[in-house]
Amino acid sequence: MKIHSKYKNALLEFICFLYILLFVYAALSKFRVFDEFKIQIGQAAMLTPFASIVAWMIPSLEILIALLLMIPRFKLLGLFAAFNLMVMFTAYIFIILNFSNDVPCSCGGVIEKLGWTEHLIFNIAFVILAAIGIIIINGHKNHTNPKFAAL
Amino acid sequence: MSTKKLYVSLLACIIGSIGFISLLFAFTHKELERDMSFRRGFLYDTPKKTHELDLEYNGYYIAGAAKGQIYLGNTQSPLYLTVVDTALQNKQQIHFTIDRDSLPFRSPKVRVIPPHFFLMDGTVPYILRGCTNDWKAYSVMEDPPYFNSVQVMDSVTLAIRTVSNKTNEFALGTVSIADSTKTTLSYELLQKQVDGIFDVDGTLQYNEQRKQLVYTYRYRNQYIVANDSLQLQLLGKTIDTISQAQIKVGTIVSKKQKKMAAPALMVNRYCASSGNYLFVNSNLLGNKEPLVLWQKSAVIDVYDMVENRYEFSFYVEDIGKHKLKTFHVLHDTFIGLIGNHIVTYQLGDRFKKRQPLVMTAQNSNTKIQDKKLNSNIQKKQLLEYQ
Repeated sequence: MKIHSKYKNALLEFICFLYILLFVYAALSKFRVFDEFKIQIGQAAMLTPFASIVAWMIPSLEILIALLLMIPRFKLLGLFAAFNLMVMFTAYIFIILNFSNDVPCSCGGVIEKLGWTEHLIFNIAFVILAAIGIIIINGHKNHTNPKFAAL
Repeated sequence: MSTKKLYVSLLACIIGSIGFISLLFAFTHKELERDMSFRRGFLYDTPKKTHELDLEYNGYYIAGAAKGQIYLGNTQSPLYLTVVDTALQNKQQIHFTIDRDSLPFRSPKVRVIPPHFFLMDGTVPYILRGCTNDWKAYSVMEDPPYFNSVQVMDSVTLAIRTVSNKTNEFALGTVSIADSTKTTLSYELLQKQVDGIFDVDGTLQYNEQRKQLVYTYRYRNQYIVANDSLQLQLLGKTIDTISQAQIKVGTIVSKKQKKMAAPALMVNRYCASSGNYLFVNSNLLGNKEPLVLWQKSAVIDVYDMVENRYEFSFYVEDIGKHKLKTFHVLHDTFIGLIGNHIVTYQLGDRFKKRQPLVMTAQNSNTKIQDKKLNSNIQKKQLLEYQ
């Protein structure tokens, strides 16, 4: 059982690392070309009314989540947040692709080079990773700290 | 947390997130807006599709049409022309040669005005001209100006739209290929409303019969008619009421670029002109027009440019999922490109024998009433969607 949980731990750390890498990279590449990013957001019909707020919010959230993932205490919270954000991104792409005429991408950096299907797969993979991370942490807590079991 | 609870909360997160985005979409999604201020008139005897031909490849555009022949250029193979007759029965390929080994093809355009044809690229820029009997093109201008839209007026004159060095905004002009010093720009024709670039965007056409330039704005209800020395002849109105371009332009400082910062309201997609008439593919749905037809066809509004009045409209059906992309009018034949297909519609003499028919904007209500009083004949001719 111990070896097993060692692997699980490593996997958890790896997932968090991937997320930190992804979010920090995505956020920085958005901030780097911020005025362009803001315009791209504005071009998406569903975000036009809140373009400037959303343009600030998304990279800030990404940085914040990356920070949460770095601090062990907030790892579970961070993973939940990452999970939600990623589901939202995925839903957004799915809706834009299927129900809207415009297809603007505002992801930042090399991620923009992905095709839409690749993008969906990429996002769904990250959603699954976050879910796995959450399940691992939860398993830990159930195991090591029975007090939390009731939560 | 028990495993079961965990799964429930994950599921709740998924539903919540998807729900949030869906709600956002639902509340901001604009259904196709119907412009109640104008109503199109359709004829009982509406122009019918006469021919259709599958060209098998995409990327075609109309390079010209004359004497029963339609010349199609292709963006993917700039040195080839496909020639089809107006009955769309015979198709043949022409490979023309150029007087140099290679040319950069950034945005090459071929125009055929027999007995001449032109190969032009305003982004490089170069202008080549040749004769249609031997299909050999030679460079005809030492130092051509840059342009982003071009039409051939005659064998030695081009109409262009370019970014003026003086104002950094779009301007219409004429180029004499015999003499590069004879490039004339008009700063009066295009009227700036927002930034002078995006808001004045539109379709430039040259009307051979009337020797006039026609420019239809994309984001407002206006078209410009000017003579070959760039004097304004008419500032016409299309039937809708969007007189101010509804666009927002943002600047990317780091790249020194301007971009549309919000979805724009497009009014007129494309236009063509022949004889006294202007044909406009509008993007706005009018009052009482059936949505079903709108969704599976493109609407063409016909205007009389001499009388400055709206004539009638007709639909050009989609083919598969493709909508009308570009079109040309040769005498009484409407030629359209839809996806990989080329179609023709016979216009006949529909617009010539008819009394004027006004179904325009709110501001001409009185006109509509006048017409209603004395237009029993028109009512018969006009199919209204009640």
